[in-house]
Amino acid sequence: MKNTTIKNIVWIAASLLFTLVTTSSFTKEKKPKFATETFTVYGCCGDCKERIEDALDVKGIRYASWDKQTHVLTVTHKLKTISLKQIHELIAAVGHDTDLVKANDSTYNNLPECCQYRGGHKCTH
Amino acid sequence: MHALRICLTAFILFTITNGFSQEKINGIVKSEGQTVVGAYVYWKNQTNFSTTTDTMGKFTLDRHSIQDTLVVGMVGFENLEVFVPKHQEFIEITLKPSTVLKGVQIGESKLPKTLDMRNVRQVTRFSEQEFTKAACCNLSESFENISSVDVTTSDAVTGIKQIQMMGFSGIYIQTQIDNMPFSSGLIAASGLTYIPGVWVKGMQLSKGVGSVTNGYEGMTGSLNIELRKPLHKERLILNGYFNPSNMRSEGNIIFTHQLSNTWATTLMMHGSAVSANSDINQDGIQDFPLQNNLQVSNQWMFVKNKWEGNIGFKYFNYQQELGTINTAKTGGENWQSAHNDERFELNAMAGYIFSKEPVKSMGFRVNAVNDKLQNRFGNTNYLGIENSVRVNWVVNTLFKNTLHKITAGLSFYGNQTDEKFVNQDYNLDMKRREYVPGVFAEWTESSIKKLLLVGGIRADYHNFFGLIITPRLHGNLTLNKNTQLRFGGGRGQRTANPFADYQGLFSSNRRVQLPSQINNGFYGLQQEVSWNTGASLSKTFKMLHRPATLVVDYYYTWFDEQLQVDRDSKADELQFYNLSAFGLKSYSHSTSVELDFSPARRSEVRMAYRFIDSRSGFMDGITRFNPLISPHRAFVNGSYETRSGWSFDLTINWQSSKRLPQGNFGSVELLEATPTQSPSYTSVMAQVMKKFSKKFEVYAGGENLLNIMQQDLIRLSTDPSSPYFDPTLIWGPSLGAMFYVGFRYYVY
Repeated sequence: MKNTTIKNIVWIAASLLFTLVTTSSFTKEKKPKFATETFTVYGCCGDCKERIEDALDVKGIRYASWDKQTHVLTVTHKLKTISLKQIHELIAAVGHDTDLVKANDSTYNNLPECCQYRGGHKCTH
Repeated sequence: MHALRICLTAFILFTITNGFSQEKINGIVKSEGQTVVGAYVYWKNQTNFSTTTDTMGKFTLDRHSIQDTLVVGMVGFENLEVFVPKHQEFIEITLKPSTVLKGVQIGESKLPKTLDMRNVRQVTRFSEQEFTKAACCNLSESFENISSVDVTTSDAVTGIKQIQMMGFSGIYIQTQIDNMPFSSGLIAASGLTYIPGVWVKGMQLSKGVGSVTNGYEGMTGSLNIELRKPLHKERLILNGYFNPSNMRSEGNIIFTHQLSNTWATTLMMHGSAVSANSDINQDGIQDFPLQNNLQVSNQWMFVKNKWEGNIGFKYFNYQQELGTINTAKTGGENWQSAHNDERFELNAMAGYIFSKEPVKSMGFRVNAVNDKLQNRFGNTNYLGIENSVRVNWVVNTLFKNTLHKITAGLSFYGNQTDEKFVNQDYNLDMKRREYVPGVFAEWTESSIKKLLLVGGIRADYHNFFGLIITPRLHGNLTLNKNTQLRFGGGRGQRTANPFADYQGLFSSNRRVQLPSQINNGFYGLQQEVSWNTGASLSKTFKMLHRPATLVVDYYYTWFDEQLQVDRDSKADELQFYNLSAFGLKSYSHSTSVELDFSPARRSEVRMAYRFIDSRSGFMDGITRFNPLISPHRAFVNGSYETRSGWSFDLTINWQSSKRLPQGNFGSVELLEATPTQSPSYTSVMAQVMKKFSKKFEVYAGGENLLNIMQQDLIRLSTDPSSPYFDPTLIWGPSLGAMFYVGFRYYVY
């Protein structure tokens, strides 16, 4: 039984080491291929979160998460594939304003009533 | 020259200090009109830039170069994140007190599993997404992807699946529904069988001893199940499931209605059945019981001003049968069994939030149970009738300031159980009465930087066993912004009830041995007393630019007193005795490593390994590994969803060999024919789901795809009257590969 316990400890140590190596290798990239940005995207509810994140589900965006409470979007993108400007445009295209790009009025008006965030509307959920 | 130097220094100093003053944010944290002392304030994801509010509730914090979201929190209040525009220098923040009853709230997270980083205990939350992975049927079947919980089948007759933690039976886990005790009394071992998976909105699984506020049980872990409630947005859910291999079908209807701003209700109904005989191993006895199961739950929620509460009931009627279908194979004997459980449960709770008083909130909860359990195994009959009530009253209050919080309260548990047990040797008619008033207090200390400490103690007085003192301590140390070290330990205790806790084991023909038959319902058994201690390290990090978590933990559990269930000393006896009667020991070491990451969008990978070394002493003086527990288990689960609504889920689960109960046989041939170890095996399950819209989804999948089966489900099935006839030596699946289809329909 001692033997399996030792094996076990070795196993854990190995997996820990593996994770440390993989994580550090990712943080030590010299020329960053990816960049992580945070900026405000206007919206209000859980449906908005889904809409914003789905709009950013495109090639070149590895990670996108919009915070319902703070309205802050965190997005990690591949610099070669997609620019920050394009990201703003993708968001505006589904009806959500950013400080750089505004959604056009007809797209905005087509949003469900619960998501009409302009003009200080209270979101329903 | 000198003057110039002074001027220059002053200028530099001025610019520096001026620069700093521009890069600071000042603020005050309030709640209900009062300042909050000791609240932590930091820039989101940047815990190096953190502070706590002073005795006036004020704080000053350096501006962060990128992050402009402040996180403000405090034990006893809901966490808040606020966006602070660049130019703003002062901010007033209002925290909402968190209520007693809500417990941990399931967010709108789409992730099936998240680690609760702030909790003092090692808590993992599972969302309903996790339960859709296991398509069938009740909660006891949803643990394939959870490393800390093992699922076992107690016997080949009742088919009841039981969960285990740390190498000990699920009876040592405290199971709650919406923070109300659920699995105890007659259903202590089988409770999760009676919770339909579709009813569940979320679950929190906590390793190690639980909070003293929930009672003196919860010895190896606790489970809180959140059922669907009016506050969730689904108005109607319809679900259907069908498995053609044994004609297993299931249907669920969940209906929610908001009556007014004050009242809302949720009605849940479940029906399931197994209606075809299966005898794949061809031993002449069915492999899986025929079933009929009906369940109803209706809960009413109210929220008014500072009051909130809930009142409702749960009812289930579970019937199953299993027996000989081909007497030619069972030596001409017709062996039959039946298992019926009917339970009615009433529950009510109310909570109130105070605004000005030092007492912040209080809560009251009560639940009452009537349960009738009947088992028939061949010539063995059992009838248990339980009437029990639990009352809990709790207050949350602050001591001096918000850095020190106290939760205290009173509780009462009353249980009247009548048991009848009739077999070849016994004709027992037992009445067990338990009345346990208790008092408890839990102290939460957050004044020490980066360390959260929760210490609790409770004192209960049991009418038969006397005073029970339960101390527990938990801590959470923040090593850096992404790494938490949790530690904790404490005592746990429970009343053993051999006939209900191990009901499936009576399906064998083993002679039952109890220490005593004195008519007090405790059978001469002491209460079980355990100590559990452990630590866990959790780390969140970025892997492939996406969030990942790694958790490593270790727990040590030992029993000062335990009910030993001995199938080893003799192959034709089932012996129950106190460990202390023979000066025996029982303990387990358990450790696990779990890595969760997301290699790409809409994908998840979970990898886990766990090791358990659990052993106990037997009356013959030998210390053995606890039977039917795999020391090693590892699994990989992967899921991927396409943009067009297809999702795929695959789990590969490996378990090492388990020790099988052995015992002395009368015959040498039998001894040689009986294996001492089960084979190790791998089970694979897969599911494909298609979402046609947010409203409608269809799924199909398979379980046990490698078609692993235990052939000898019943030892000596050829002779049901033999003393060695035993359907309780189950190490693996009784059914081969199975396929199923199902649908879910939601109305919002």
